[in-house]
Amino acid sequence: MDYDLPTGFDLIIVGTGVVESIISAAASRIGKRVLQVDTNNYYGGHWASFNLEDIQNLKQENNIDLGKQFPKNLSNEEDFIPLGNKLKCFPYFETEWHIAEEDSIDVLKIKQENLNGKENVVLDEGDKSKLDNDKKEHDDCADKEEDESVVQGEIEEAKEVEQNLNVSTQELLKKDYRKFVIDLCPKLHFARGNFVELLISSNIARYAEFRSVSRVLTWINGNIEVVPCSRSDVFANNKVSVVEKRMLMKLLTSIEEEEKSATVPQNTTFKDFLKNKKLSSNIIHFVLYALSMSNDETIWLEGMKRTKRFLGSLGRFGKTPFLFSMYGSGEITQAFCRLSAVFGGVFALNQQLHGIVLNKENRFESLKCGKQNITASHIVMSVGAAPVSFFKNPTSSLISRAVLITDKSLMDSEQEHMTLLLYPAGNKLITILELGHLTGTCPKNVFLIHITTEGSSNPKEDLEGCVKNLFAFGEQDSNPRKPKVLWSSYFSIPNTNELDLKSSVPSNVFLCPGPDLDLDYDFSLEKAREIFLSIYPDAEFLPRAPDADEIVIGEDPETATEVRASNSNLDISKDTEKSVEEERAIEQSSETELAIEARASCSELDTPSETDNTTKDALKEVEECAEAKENMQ
Amino acid sequence: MANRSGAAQRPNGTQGKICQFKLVLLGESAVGKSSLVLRFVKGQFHEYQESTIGAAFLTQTVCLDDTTVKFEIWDTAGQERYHSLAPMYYRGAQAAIVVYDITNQDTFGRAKTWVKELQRQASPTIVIALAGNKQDLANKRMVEFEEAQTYADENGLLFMETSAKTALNVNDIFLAIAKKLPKYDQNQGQSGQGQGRRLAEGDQGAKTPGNCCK
Repeated sequence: MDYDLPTGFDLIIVGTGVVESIISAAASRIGKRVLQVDTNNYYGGHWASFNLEDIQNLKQENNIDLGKQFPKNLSNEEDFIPLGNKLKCFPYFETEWHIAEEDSIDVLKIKQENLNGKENVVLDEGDKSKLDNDKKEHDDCADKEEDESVVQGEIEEAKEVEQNLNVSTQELLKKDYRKFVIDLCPKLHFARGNFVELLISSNIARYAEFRSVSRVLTWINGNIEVVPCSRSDVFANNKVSVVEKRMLMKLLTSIEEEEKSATVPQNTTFKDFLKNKKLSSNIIHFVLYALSMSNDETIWLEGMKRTKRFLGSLGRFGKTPFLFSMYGSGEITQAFCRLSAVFGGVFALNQQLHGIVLNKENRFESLKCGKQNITASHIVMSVGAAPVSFFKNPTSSLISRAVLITDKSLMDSEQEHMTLLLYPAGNKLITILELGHLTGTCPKNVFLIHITTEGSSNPKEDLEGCVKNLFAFGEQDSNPRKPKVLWSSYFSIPNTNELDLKSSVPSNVFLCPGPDLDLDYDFSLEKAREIFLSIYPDAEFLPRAPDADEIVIGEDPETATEVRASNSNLDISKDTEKSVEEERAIEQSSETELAIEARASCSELDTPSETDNTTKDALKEVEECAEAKENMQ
Repeated sequence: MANRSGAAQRPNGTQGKICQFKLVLLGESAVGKSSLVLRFVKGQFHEYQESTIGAAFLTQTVCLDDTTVKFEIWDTAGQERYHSLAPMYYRGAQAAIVVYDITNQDTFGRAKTWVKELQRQASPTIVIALAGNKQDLANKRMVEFEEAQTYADENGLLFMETSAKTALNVNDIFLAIAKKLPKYDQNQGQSGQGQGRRLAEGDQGAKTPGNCCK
């Protein structure tokens, strides 16, 4: 390593998972000196996202002996404890292609012609039948192509054919490998959930962009159906009878009172509770598996709570209660890390972490990182990085995952949807996310499918039935409506949320759980808040960070250049410079590194000028007009 | 990150277009990235800029004919120091300034690495500018102007030597980028291509039209 890290911190954080990163941001935010390190060369640990190439390499990486990632130090110190345990690994990991490696010469030829921008794409019978074989569902395109006489139309069609061909071979998907963002642990956010509220209240939301889930589907009686989420959905749905509509509306509107007034035995399942309501089986299915995302064994009170969580988040953003972070869930950990960095947190990936040193009182003293010994008053680590001796029983349940790349949507539609499909499978619920290219996680013309459920055996067995019902592999499946799987990956991740992460751990060491089965980050957020408040009991947890607009001295767009021209005269800005210097002196004495935004907003308050205010107003006005216009559209 | 655009009534009554772009700064530590932004956004220069400082992002507006270009400028916040810059940083960036220090040959080499990284990680349509900073120290120059210019030409980059201290070419380099960026009108902004939603306090779901590059 060609650099040395600073060695004295308030808090060291090992790992860049969601819980670790939230704690990091919260600690940096209140002025603590934070070092966040990771043995991986990427952010996120088990919460990370990868492109199509990197996820296939992950398989090999996973095979690397743990001892190499956390080499035992030849230290003679008795209190030296090596880091790392098997929870860091994936108990199961495989990826597989389901399409040919390369194009046949015929197809390549057509594509070459298309790429050359030939105006007339003539497909001879041979080529055409080849096309048909390759992509049955694109018959339409080929037919149209023949009839179309407008040159422009032909060019577009040619492009379309070219794009359609793109998905047919590994070679072509690999060319677009960077356009894939494949989450190990994809999450949705309830529009009024605690996590979204935190993103907004802490102002971290500005680092990320979101898309609304545009439809919720469920698997019922061997078919995929749309789950009515709102009043208008209920009435627009032609699969629900009028009587059922009234039943559902009644249940949806009365669920709050139900919770208080119902005198139902505590251990009643939600399923039985709904059955007792004399609801039709359709409605029971919608409420039980989709709205409440329960399984057959969920008790009624929990089921009610979940239904309320769903309904409570309706109507804020989009048609469904859910948001998804664009470019994948891995962005979320990075957003918290960035906030931490903005407030002075030091980040170092790809580190060799050997172990930690405890003092005689069995308290954490320092971290051996590379050749360095880094001290801090507290250390927070991801569960997979923790020494084996910190667990009474380091075995966990598993999360079974599958990721598929498919050639079309589970339910075709004119517009591209972002879909959540809830698939009940006995006493388990399988959640399926279908992401299109608008989410920034895959290229056009293919879909990325994330399947998640509670693991019992290996993920392939756990998900086999569901995958076979919904998707087709190769040419074997006769149902042309099913999306064809082009690539698949199955893996399992340890689910550590029920592990005892406290009792065998030194008092200034805190372990962060990894991914869990919750749809949102609620569990992780609570854990992060709990750990943060254990370390800093009196501190505020992620107060609002200042906005860019609060720091920037607005300038009249019309005279922007002139104003800046005068700004560049050093004499004029001297006064401001001086005040900033004084400020810096104060800061250094208190050993607090304030982020620029805080400082800048102070100096702005110190030296307000009339021009600034008027120009700011003008700029605001411009923005308001723009907003008004946008709203009108 | 969206290139949000919309027609706006200007203070003087003429119709104008506002385009917003995400611009990221890259370059070795201590080449003057933060100083360039501070000079551009606030017209200030601090000789002893703390190395750790970094803003979430700062915004600055430049005016081009009938278009108001609003830059959302992201600084590395020090995450580049131990090679730990998150991919999120490049996400949706429409412009980048790669900065090196003309008195330090290593930083020029590193700048080339950043350009490669951008070409690999960022949007293929990103506008990249190379800034040879600390031009006020030209007497200690270690990187020849011609060498950098040739490299920039070969790689299709904008290039200027700048000085955050004297303000030389600071506004100019941002203006040059603004000129080179594609200014979509609001109709294209509505095309639905990769537009994301920003969450904000009191937001009840107004959608931000945008055109997200990916």
